[in-house]
Amino acid sequence: MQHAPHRPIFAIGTALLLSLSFLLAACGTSGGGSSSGVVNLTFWSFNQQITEQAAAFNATHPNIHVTALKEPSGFGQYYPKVLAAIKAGDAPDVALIEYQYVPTFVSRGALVDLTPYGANDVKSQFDPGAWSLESINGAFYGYPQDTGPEGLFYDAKTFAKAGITSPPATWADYATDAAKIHALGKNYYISAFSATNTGWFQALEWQAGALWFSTSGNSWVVNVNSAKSQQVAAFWDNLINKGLVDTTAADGDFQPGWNAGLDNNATGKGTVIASWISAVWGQGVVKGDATHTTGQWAVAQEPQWTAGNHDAGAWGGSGISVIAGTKHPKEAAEFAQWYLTDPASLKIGVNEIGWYPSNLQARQTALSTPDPFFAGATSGGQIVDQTFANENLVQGWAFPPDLDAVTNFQGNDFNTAITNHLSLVGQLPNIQNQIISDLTSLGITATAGS
Amino acid sequence: MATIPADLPNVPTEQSGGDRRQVLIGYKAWAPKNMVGYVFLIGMTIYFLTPLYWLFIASSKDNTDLFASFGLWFANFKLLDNLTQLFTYEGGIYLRWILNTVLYAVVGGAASTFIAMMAGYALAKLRFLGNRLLFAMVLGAALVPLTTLAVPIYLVESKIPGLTHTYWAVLLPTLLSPFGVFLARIYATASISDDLIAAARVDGASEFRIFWSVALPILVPGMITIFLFQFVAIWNNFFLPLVVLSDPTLFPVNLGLATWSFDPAAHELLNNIIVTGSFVAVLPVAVLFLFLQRYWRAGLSLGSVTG
Repeated sequence: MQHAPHRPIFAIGTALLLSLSFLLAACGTSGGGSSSGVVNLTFWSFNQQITEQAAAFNATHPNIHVTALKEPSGFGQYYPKVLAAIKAGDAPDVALIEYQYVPTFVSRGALVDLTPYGANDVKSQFDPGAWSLESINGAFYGYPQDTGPEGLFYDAKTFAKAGITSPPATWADYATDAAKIHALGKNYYISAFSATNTGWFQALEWQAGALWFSTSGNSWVVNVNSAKSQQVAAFWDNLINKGLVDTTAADGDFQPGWNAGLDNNATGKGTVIASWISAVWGQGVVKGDATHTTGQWAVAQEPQWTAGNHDAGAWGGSGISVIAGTKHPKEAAEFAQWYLTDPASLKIGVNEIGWYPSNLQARQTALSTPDPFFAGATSGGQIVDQTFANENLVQGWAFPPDLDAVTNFQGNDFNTAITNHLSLVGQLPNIQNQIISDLTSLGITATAGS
Repeated sequence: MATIPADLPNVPTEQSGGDRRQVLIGYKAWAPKNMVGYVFLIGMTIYFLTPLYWLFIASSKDNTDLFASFGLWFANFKLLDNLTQLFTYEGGIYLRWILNTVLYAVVGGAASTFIAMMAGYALAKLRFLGNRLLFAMVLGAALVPLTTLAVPIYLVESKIPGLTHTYWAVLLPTLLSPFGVFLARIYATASISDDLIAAARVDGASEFRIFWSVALPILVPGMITIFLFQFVAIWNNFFLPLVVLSDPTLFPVNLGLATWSFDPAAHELLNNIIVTGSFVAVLPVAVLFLFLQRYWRAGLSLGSVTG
């Protein structure tokens, strides 16, 4: 065969690649080699300003150098990326992991137990509800960063127009108020109900004490179809059947119709969403969406199942975990602990990133300034975080060891219910069965609680 | 058939101006019976341009108007404010993302085009053992989307020290485009006659000289087509950079914008600059297409002329 033709082509190709490599070597970044005994750590988060916190740590810890990298968080790419990096042996040493994903990561052996690194020494500094979300079977997998207890954001002007003088204290009041608000016009709703907003609904179950997941020894107990769980689902079934909440998909939380619906409280035109059961971080969303309603909104504690209680479930919130496979678990654990106990780091987190911190000391300092946007019930505005600080996270909730599957089952079945005018309560047994068989297929022992 | 009138409008044609068939097609396009075709094309034009139009309108709005005002017309015109915020947010990192994307798309596109041309030419014109088998493998590889390969590529790359989290991590996998090789082979088969190569060999030209000085100039339209394909594929590539990069200063623009999307802890909404950033990111591709579309069309038709 002819050999002559290939050689020059190959040579040129090689030459091209080599010249490219010189070009890129010039603009590439250095890997950050460890020199003179300094331990290099990588930290992933999707918060802003993390580089400022890392700089503060590096300035006071000459033997450790932390590189903080802000990763994409939208469209659910963050966790697949972290899991792929763990699989490749290329993971960061420290990473932000939201509470709901901690058991999923633990079930894959991806997180380091921090108890041997002095975690319990600082336990008293943290919100016990948040701390328990990081604790599984006696091990502890991450320092709680921020917490998302739910409350009620409502447009006080629209509420007053409907003849509601004080925000609903109980869920029974909430149902009554829902009818009053819908009486203002067919375009008025007290809330949207989005079938696929699974974490939001779980927080409602959580508040009612319907603990969907728990562990018993090495086995998971799935309790999606309990009497308490059915009670919460039936409550929303009632509102949905009467057409008092907006179930249009395009008006679901964070959808364009919903964003506009919050702002429409200013004009009363188009779909009006008069309130939102949301976590403490929701204040930024309301302020960003409903700019024409400045001064109209207010915040109240989450409506209660038992009058006089201050129970809340949480939606969102995250912790800082050490990723299994790190070469420097001791230093990584040291950074994680520093990150959420050091005053300088917490100050940046609270003031610049906008945490509602799980560190109780930092939470006290965060409760200072009234926000004039939320002046609907209090002239001059409310200290929004104070409302949430008065609530107690209901103890005992745990997230499942395979969150993505649960999200799919719940989202699909609730979506089917809404589309076909079936009840949410009727979907719970099927959701529970699917979760149990999924966990079983993953080799995780799971039983039905009811 | 009617005779062709002498006073036909001067319709621009693909390559040579004097082709009568081309002129005839141009004439008949104006006849009423092609109205259906026109309406269809106008409909398709609207269909494809509406999202771009929406993006432009949306990039001129603030966060509230983005949702509260009618989507296909202006509200308070805030384009300049959005642009200022876009190019200054987080220390102006957006410009860095754009430049990164240009680097990935231009370098990756050019290099992969050149490699594809060499491979395609060799597969079309040189006889060697395994030629057909290699082409069959290229054809098979062209059917596998790069997205599905992203994680496997990453797992392989992570075994090579110092490769992941660098520009190379994105560039290396994009250097080889099976689809480009496939197209290049078709172009080379169709447009370079064996006689031409034989003549060059008689004149004593080396094989590379034949490729470089004889074949390549003929293949320029096809080359530009392949370059555009690759350029757009790399420009839009999201999943590969997502898994192989972690340093935001190396991100392409689409990945960078994803770091701005909903951050639950942040007490501010960035929808306005995400939308404006998306609009700005579309512009370079649009400009490139407007400049190179002449070659693009010629390139597309090239392979279909002779079989």
